[in-house]
Amino acid sequence: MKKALAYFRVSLTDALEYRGDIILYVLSGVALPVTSLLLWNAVSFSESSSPLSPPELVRYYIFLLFVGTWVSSWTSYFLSRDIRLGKISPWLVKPAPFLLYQASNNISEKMLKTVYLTPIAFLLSFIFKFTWPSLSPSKWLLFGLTFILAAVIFFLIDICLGLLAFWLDDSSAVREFYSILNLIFSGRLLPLYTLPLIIQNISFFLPFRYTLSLPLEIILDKLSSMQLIQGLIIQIIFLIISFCLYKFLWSRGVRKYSASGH
Amino acid sequence: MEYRANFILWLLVEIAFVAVQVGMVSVYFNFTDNIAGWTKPQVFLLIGIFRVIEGIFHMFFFQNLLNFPENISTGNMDLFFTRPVNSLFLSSSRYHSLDEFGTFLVGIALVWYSLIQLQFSFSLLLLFELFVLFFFGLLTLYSIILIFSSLSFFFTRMTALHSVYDVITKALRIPINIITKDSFIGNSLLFPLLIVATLPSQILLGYVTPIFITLEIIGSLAIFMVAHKFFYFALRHYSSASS
Repeated sequence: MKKALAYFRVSLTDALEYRGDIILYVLSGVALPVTSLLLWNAVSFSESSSPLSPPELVRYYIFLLFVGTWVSSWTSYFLSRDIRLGKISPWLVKPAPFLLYQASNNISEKMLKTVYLTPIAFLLSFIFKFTWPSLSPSKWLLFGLTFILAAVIFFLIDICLGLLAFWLDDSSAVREFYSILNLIFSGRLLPLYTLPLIIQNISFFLPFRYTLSLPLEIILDKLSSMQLIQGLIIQIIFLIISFCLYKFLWSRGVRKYSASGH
Repeated sequence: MEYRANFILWLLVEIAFVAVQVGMVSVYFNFTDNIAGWTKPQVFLLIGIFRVIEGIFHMFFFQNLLNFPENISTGNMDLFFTRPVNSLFLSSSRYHSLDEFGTFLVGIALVWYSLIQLQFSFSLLLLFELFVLFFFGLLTLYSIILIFSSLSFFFTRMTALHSVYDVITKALRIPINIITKDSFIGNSLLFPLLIVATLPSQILLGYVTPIFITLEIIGSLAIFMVAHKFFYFALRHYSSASS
């Protein structure tokens, strides 16, 4: 716990030193939801009914700002670079797990981003006439739980993508393909309810829905109790799978790893 | 072409990204037949025009401009300023990234498809018009990013420059008048973004009179002049690692 707090303090200090960068990252994260909201706003619904009403769309994208910020990770890029350049060597001899530092770095930067994001979200809520969802306390609790699980699953998968650098000279194309699938199946680009049925059905079997869309679906209050429980169970399964995959890739990768001096 | 597999892989990635955007727009049109007065083929035309411009920009300028912060902090900028070649030209076009060719290719395909859907008759005049609009749209995009990249001469760290580019290009993929609501103030404030892809599309579609081509050209050249002046102004604040 002490090591985690120490890493957290170091990461937060580093992030606070370059606040301008963090603000720009926040704006970059806001750009896609805002663009989507503007498009939905401009869409005058024809006679066919939309699965989501305008207030629900606003609610979806405003919550997406926060959920999307916390369900994000940049570790894979830096991890694959460090593996390629031999810079993870120090981590192999440190007394704390490599994952601990990455998690602390991730959380500290996200906390700072949330601080900068909050006034932007308030402004957007005012512009787009956001209305607060009326959910029962149990559903809010479930939202919180699925939110945390989503963030952890996404983080672990991102780490796994970075660890591919132990075997691939350039894993950037793999990461980009993952990003494309994530954009479609996670609901980051468009709510899954608005997509063709075949894509919605495929998304049930892929981890992407459980890294973003599921918490947002709870906010929209579109899921039955059975669907909620089902979603939560599948999330836990994906959490176990992604953690096991991380452990496997890390242990195999470190055995294969070589750098000058090793 | 030494890394052919990587080139082909990135070609496919770029094509996939554009396909996702086209798919996204198609979803919106499942619920409506127009977005702020733009029909589906018209929006595809705008996306195609933007992708052609973005493809060329990525191939020749993107990597160079976004490397400004790193080159400045490492002192590598010296390499561009001590050669008997125009500094701006060399620093912004030194390296090329031909694996971004996929974006350009898909953009051309999308423009061609949209023009057929909109029942345009292909002629030399149309091709010339397209060439002019692409050129000045590209010049505007280059100028906008050059201005932001030049800010690296003033700030210690600008690793988030990529995020600035991200925000700008996300806005450019949709008709800007969705944001400005065609208001004079909105159009004036976002004028540089307007003339990259939205105004060229409107000119081609006949939403505005052909005289607006003049506005496109003058606006683009004016923004380039501002970017040019700002770059050399910012350069005066550069002190390399060795001097």
